[in-house]
This record gives sequence, C-alpha cells and structure tokens, in this order.
Amino acid sequence: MTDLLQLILSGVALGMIYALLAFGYNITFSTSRTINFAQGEFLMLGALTGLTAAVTWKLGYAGALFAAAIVGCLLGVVLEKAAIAPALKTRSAVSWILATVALGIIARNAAERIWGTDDARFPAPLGDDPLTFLGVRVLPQELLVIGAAALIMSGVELFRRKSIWGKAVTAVAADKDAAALMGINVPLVITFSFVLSSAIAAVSGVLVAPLTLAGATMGTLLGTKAYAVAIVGGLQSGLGVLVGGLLLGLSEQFTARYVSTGYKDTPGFVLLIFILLVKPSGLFGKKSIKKV
Amino acid sequence: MPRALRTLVLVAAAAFLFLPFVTQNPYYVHSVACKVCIYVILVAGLDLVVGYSGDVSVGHAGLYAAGAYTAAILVTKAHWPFLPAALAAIAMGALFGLLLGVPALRLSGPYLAVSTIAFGLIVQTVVNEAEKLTEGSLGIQNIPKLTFGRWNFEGNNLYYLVYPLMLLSLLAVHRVATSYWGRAFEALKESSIAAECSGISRYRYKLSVFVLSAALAGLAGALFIHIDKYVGPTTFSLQLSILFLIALIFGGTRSLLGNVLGCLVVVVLPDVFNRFADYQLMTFGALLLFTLYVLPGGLAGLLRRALPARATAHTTEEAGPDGSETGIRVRKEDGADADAGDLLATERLTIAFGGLVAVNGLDLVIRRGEVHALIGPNGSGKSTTVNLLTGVYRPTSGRVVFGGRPFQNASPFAVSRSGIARTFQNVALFGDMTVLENVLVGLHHTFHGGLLDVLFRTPRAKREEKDARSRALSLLAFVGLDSLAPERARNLPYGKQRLLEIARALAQDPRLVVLDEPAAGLTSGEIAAVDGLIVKLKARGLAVLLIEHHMDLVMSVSDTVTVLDFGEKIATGIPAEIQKDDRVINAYLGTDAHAMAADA
Amino acid sequence: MLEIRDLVVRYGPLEALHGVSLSVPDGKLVAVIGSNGAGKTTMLRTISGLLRPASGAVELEGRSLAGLKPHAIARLGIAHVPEGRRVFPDQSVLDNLLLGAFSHLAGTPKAEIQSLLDDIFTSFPRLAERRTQLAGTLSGGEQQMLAIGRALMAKPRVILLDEPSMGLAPLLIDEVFRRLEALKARGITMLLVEQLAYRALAVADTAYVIEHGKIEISGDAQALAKDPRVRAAYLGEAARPDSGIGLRT
Repeated sequence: MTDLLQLILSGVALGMIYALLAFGYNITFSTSRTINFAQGEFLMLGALTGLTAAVTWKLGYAGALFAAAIVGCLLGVVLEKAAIAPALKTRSAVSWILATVALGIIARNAAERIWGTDDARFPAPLGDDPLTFLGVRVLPQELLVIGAAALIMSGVELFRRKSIWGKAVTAVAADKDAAALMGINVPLVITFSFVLSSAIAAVSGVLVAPLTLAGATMGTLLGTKAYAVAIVGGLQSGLGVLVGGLLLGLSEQFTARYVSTGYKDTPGFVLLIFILLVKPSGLFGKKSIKKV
Repeated sequence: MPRALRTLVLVAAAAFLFLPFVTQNPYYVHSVACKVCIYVILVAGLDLVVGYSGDVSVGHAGLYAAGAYTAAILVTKAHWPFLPAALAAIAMGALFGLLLGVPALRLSGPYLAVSTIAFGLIVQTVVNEAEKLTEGSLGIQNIPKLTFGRWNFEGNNLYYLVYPLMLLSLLAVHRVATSYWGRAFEALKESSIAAECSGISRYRYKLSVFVLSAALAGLAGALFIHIDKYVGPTTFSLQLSILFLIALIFGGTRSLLGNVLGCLVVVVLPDVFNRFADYQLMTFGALLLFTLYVLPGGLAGLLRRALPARATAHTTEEAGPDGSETGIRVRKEDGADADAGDLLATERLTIAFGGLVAVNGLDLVIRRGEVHALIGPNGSGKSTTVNLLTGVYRPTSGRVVFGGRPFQNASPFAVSRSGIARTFQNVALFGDMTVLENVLVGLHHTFHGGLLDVLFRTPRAKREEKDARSRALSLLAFVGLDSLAPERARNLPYGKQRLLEIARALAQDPRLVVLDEPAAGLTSGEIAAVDGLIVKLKARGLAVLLIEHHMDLVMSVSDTVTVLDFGEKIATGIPAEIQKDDRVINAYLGTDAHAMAADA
Repeated sequence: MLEIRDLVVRYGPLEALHGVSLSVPDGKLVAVIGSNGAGKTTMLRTISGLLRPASGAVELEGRSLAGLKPHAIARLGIAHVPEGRRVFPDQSVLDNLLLGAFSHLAGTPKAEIQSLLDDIFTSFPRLAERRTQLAGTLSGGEQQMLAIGRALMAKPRVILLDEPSMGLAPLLIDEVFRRLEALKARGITMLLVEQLAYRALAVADTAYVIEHGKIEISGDAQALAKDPRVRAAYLGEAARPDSGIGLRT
C-alpha cells in the first residue's frame, strides 16, 4: 500500500512537470496554431541559468527562478521573431516545425559550449532529506514541484479569465479578425503568448532540476513527452494537459516499477500514437469541421 | 532536362565511380564517400515524404535503425549472406514505414511530426532494451565480411557497391516522382480534399509514400553496418533524424542533385573543420534556419536559378491533343440501371453540426442530362449540400442515391470514382503543379499500371502517360487553356483558374458535374464563357448541378431551379416559376418586399 | 464622417472591388445592398483594415486610414459588426461586451464603463438576463444583439454592420431592424450592408446598389425601393417588369 502511494506521489510530481511544459504548448497553440519544438531545450536553458544564478552567483533558489524566468522571456521573443513570425506569413507548417527544431539544436549546442557536457547536481532548496508521513517518503522538492506547478497553472488561468488582457488573449485565440476589430493588437498578443510559454518552460527547468540533474541533454526527452501530453489532452484544453500529464507521469512510474526502468519512456508514446489514431483532437479536444 | 545537361549529369555520375582510383585514402573513400552515398539513399527516400508528400518526419532514424538491425542480426546470428539480409532489411524498413504511415492517414503538421518523433524514440528504446536480439547498449559487433562469390566489398571496395545502389535509388525516386504516383503525392500535399475529390485514394498513397521511403531507409541501414562493421543504439538518435532533415532542406527538396549536395555537406563539413564537432549542431541549426527563410529551395534551388531556365517543352513535346476533339467522355452506365430512374436523388438528407441543422430533410432530384441550379441566400446550406453529395461530409440522416445505388459512407474518392466530379467555391487547385498536371491528376483513374510499371518504365506505363497527356491537352483546349499548359496553376488569373477546375472535373469522366459558384469573382465576359461552357456540357449529355448567385447565369442555363433557405427546400421548378414565387422573393429580398414595391 | 473614394481591392480575388466610392454623413444610416458575392463584405473588411486596398482611399473625418492596422483603425472609432456575428463563443456575454470596450478601457473610469453597460442592457434586456452565460450558447438573434452591443461599447463614431439578418428567422430579423431604427434615432452613424434589400431600404437614409464590385445605382433609400432595377439585381434580368415576368402590382 505504501509502495503504491509512493509510486503515485512521484508519478504526480513528474506528471506536473509534463503538464506545465504542455501547458506552454497549449498557450502558443491557442493564439497561433503553432507549438515550439524547442520547448524542452528552453527548459534545459532555464535549469542551467538557474544553476548559475543559484550556485555561482549565490542568489539562492528564488534568484534562480527569477533568472530563469528572464531568460525564458528573452527566448520567447527570439523564438517568435526568428522562427514563428516568418513562417506564419508563408503559412507553411513545415517551415515553423523545422525552424523551431533548428532553434532547439542550436540551444542545446550553445548550452554544451557554455556549461559543458556533464550533468551537474542542482541543490534542492528544501534539502534532500525525505519527509515521512503515513510511511511514505517524499522529497520536499517533489512537493515543491506539485505546489509550484499548480500555482503557475492556476495563476495563468486566473489571468486568462479575470484580467482584461487575459480576456484579450482568449479572444485572439478564438477569432483573430474579430479580436483585431475590438482594437486588440493581435501580433503583440501572439508574441506575448510565446514569451509566457517560454518563461513557463524555463521556470519548469529550475523546478525539475533538483529531482533529476541539470545538463544539456535533460530537455529533449522531457520536451518530447510534453508534446505527447499536450496532444493526448487536446492542444486547446487546460484541463486536458493536466490530466494527460498526470496520466503519463503515473504510467511511467508504474512501468518502471512493474515492467522495467528501460521501458519507462515508451507507454507515453504508445498512448500518444493510440490516442491520435482514435481521437486526433485529443481526450478533451473539440472536433473541428473542415470547411471546403 | 535539356539533352546536353542530361549527358553531362550521366558522364559525371559515371566518372564518380572511379573515385577510388583518384584517392586510395581509406578515410575518404571508405568512411566519407560511402557514408555520403548511404545518406543519399535515405535522404532521397525522405524527400518523397517531405518534399513530395509534404509531411514532416522526424523519425527516419528509426527506420534506418530497423534496416540496420535487421541486417546485422541476420548476418551475425542467422549467418545469412548479404543479399537476402539486405532484402529482409528493406522489407522490415517498409513494414516499419507502414506503422509510421498509419498516423499520417489522419494527422498532419505538428501532430504528425510529434508522432514521428515518438516513433523514433520508441524504436531507439526497444533497440536498447531488447538485449537478446540487439545486444542492448553494447551493440552488435563482428559483422562478417561482405562478399559475393569472388568479389569482396571490404574496405574501399564497399564504394563499388554503395555508389551504384545510390544511383539506382535516385533513379527509382526520380521515376516514382515523375509518374502519376508522384502527381498523386503532390496533389494530396497541396489539397487533400481536392485530390480525393479528383479520384485519388488518400489511404493508398499516404501509406505508399511512407512505405517506399522506409524501404530506402531500410536499404541504407543494411549498407550502413558495413562501414564500421558495428551497429549500436546511440547512432539512431533524434539528432540523426534531424540531421537527415537538414541535409534534405539545405540541399533542396524535390531535387536529386539537392539530395546529393545536402548529404555531402552534412557528412563532409564535420570532417573538414577539426573543431567543428563542438559547434556542429549550432552550425547545422543555423544552416537550417537560413535555408528556410533566405534560401527556400536550398542549394539546388540556387543552382536552378543560376542555370538557364529549364525547358518546359516536355509537357507539350510528346503528344498533341487526341482525336476526340474535346477529350470529354461521359462514363457509360453499367448494368440494368442505365437510363432508368433519376440520375441522383437525395432522400430526407439532413446534417447537423452541433445543434445547428445546416441541411434539413432535403429531397433533391437531378434528372439525366439536365442543368439543375441550387440557389438560396448566404448560409442557406448550398455548399453543405455539395459537400454531402460529394462525400466530404457524412449525413446525420437520410441518404444519397446516385445512378440507382445508394452511397453508404462513401469517401470523396469513391464518389469521384462513381461518376460525380466537382469544383470548389474557393478554388482548390494544386497551385504548385502545372496547368497540365492539374488535369492529369483528374485523369488519375486512367492509369492502371502498378509500381513496377513505373519503376521500369514499361511500354504500358509510357503509353498510359502519353494517352493521358494528349487527353489532358484536349480537355484544356475545350476550356480554352491549352496554350497555358506548362504554366503553374497558381500563376493563372482567377477566371482561368475556375476554368481549369472545370477541366480537372471533366477529366474524371463524370456523369454529374457539380459546379460550386463557378462565376463568383468573374468579370461579365468570363461569366459569358462559363455560360457557354455549361451549355456545351449539357449538349454532350452531362448533368450539371450549378450552385450560383449570378441570377442572369442561373436563369439562362438551368432546366430546373431549386431554392434553399435555412437548410430546407422552399421551391423547385423552372426558372420563370421560381422568379415569381413569393417565398423565393421573400427569402431574397426580405418579407416586406411586396408591400414596399407595391407602394410604387 | 466616413468617405470612400475609388476603392479597388483584389481579394483572393473572390469578391473584388473595382473602384467603389461612397460617403456616410454624420448621424445617417447608409445602406449598401446587392446580391451575395457582389463585394459588400470585402468593402467593409477593407474599411476596417482587415484587407488592404490596391488603390483608393478611406477617410474618417478627413483623416486617411491608409496603412493602419485593424486594431489602430478600431481605436479611431470604427466599430465593425462582422458577418456571421463573430462573438467570442467561449467567453461570457459580459466579457464580450468588455472586450468591445478594449480600445478605451484603460483610460475610462469604471463608472463610465458601467453606464455604457447599463445602457446596452436597457436596450437589449435579453443580454442583461444572460450576462454570465457563454456567448456561444446564445441563439443567433441574441448573438446578433451581442455583436451590436459589443460595437456600442467601443463608443464608436461609425458602426459598420455586415448582414445583420444573415441566418436569422424572420421574426428575429424584424427585431434586429427595430434595434437599428432605435440606434438611428439616437443619432448614431451607421453603414449597413445587407442582402435583404427592402428591409435595408426601409431603415436607411441613402443607399447604394453594388453589383460585380461596382456601385450600379445610388440615391435616396425611399426612391430606390421603387426602382425595378433593384429587383433585377437579385433575381436576374428577366425579373424586370418590362420583360413581362416581373412584379405583380
């Protein structure tokens, strides 16, 4: 029983990171129908920036989060200007997919040059001693991840629903022309969505790094799994990414425990391909009608 | 390709066979040149998927791995000779390609890209974990010597095997791409709906393109294991899939020369600069971004612009219009239903989107050989009706009976094959293809030769192509576009695009042509031409369903007019009756129409 | 108030405009009528900046709108009620109205926004009842009221209305046109594009008939209602009274 609880708890912590990254895809997809194939690399850059801020500059964990957020915002602007905006003009899906892939490998190579190819330990702000209750041992960082991810997602949802700027973002997502007729600067809102999405990715890096290790290769797989989560949940649905993230996090923990650690990455992808075949719009996605 | 250039390419290709005589340095011949050849085989296959079919695959390293491991396991554990092992590798690649292609039937763009990434990662994981077969992270070593009887292909001699195979692969890709298969891939890429409505099975060709591409990747994998005599899981990373894409895009898609140049760059660059390895990904990433936005078409595109314009004569050189004057053939009706009953009838046809009933209980009858107009205010359900008749939408209830047979869950492809062809309200041509090729896509149903006919250019394949071209020219002459045959469709003025759509529809030998607002956006002169065309179609025994807002046109050419409002039929009859019908007048002019006009 | 001169638009080029001129005087309701595909929607989309003209000018109170982005044009006081209503379906009625005021929301005191809202809720009591409901769940007629209310929230100088009758049942069409008359009585300047010719002519001061991207006839709305050419524009040449099949009088 405690074994099960243990698995569930670490599955949830992992799942929240996936959900957070996928939430970032969700934001840009809603405003521009594009997702950033470099999101995992942005997470990695956030983690490494955070590491430098926390360890080298001795700014502490809060400083690391802040530094990562700043870097994330900058990356978002670069991404939108260099990879997305030109592709949106030519309306070519191939272009933006490949362009964000290109940014991703550039980011990874740059990280290797700056921080080296070795993985580094990221000191956990609340220590590495597990807390125990009901016989379940929990790392404080796991609780921090769950709490912070929930905070960020609900914060963004609150912004979307309560502030007029958030409402404007939702309006752009629903109907660009109608939003422009309301006096909303649509291109600016799209840039903003990339800034927000990239900042979330970078901050996720600082959250997850103490649980894994920080290094140039940490992002690729996380990012890819988060695509799976975003698509499984339905690219337009906030609830969908949460459910999808938890589903994946739990399935990985269970596979690792009961099948083999080597195969822990596969169930998510198999699930992804299966869901795509059965319901291409995702679990919580809306079916769209093609207009001819 | 001009003859001189073609000779030059052939001479150059032959000359490269003698590379090992120029330098015997095993590093250049065995490692670099062989690797380039193997990459070219794979990238040429990738080009079919990305360049011709327009889908992004970031999972080709997985297919490459499937081929490499199949060959390696068979030669080391089952002691198969090279040739059967290589054939098995090709087959295994093709099988994996089928798996990768199934998602492509329903997905596109980012969804498909993500599923190909997932596919690649799954393959890599399996290779790592299935230790009994693959030796896991250790990899398979001690690949035996590659010999054919007295010949051995070890060391630099490997080049004599991979280079000719590369040339053959390029030739195969070239032949497929320039055949009706290639046109089907491109048509599906440019407009999936229009391609299916022109009689192309998305199911068949989307799967085919992935299978063909994967077979080449499997071959490349089987050859690859003989470079290092070793195969291990780290080779087949996501990065390798991305590297293949970079080679393809930088070299230039849809170009054999581009495939070769791209692979040369990604293999040779890291070798030329010593410290390059450290900055390899950054450089390639930058190269990819640069190509995408500054150099669309890649290196091959650059060369194409630098060289004198390629002759476009090949579209017209072979055949003139055929004897049948118009190229129109009305399909013979088969069996007992010929001439019996109405051509098309809908029975209580209904479709609802969410809560909105767009077409409600529609009974529409089209008689053989008549021009039937469907009119109504905006949003009255006309285009939805067209989409229901052509299989683009499935009705919520009710059914369509055509030629005495009900359509059951008919796909647009099946509808086209049964004899209904259509045009689109917002012109859906294949813009990057030529005018002639657009009509050839409509003639897809006249090709019966299989893949082998295409690969070996059999007399049958040549004859079918020649016949189709001459019929396409006749059809173009019929709509007055024959002089524009080699133009790209998207460069045509709007009115001519509408005519080209009609020619493409006629190419399908339909019994019923559905014209969805053929006169929208046309000048009055052009409308008169459409008017004349409809009259000629009717004279040849074709039935026409005309959706149109230009009432002058509707009233002058139609035998019957049906009026829709709010998705329901409010009137049907001859034009003069319709113009007097109160319900019609109210639907078009507003309820007070009579009162206001009567004040006059 | 709003002037259009020699507007030429090449749009995809499904509904092109070939040199259209018209003017909307302050406080008047001007109607543009014509069959589908005549270029009416293209004209409105060009005025509000969603499409770029190939040549010609659009001026608001003498100020050229050339080169301005749609959001900038909206901020100058042109409120466009688009074809098909285009309310934001996943947001509440209240949010839709607030978004209508987006261009001046930051600089407007809360009390003024509230009085704008009160005003709209008084004119459209149905919207008041449903203020927390998602706009996508409203009926077609209610969505049209919301789209008009959203435009009023912008404190516009001119309202452009694109086919407010489209897809509505006759009773609701009556309702929409009564609202337009009420707005006209309040002195709001409007440019109305409509395929239901006689409905539009009944509320308009002046009107233009557009066909094949050109203004064919223009003049006083009452006079146009009696012009047989209006009818011919819709039902084809044969519908002209002199051809013998046309109007029964």
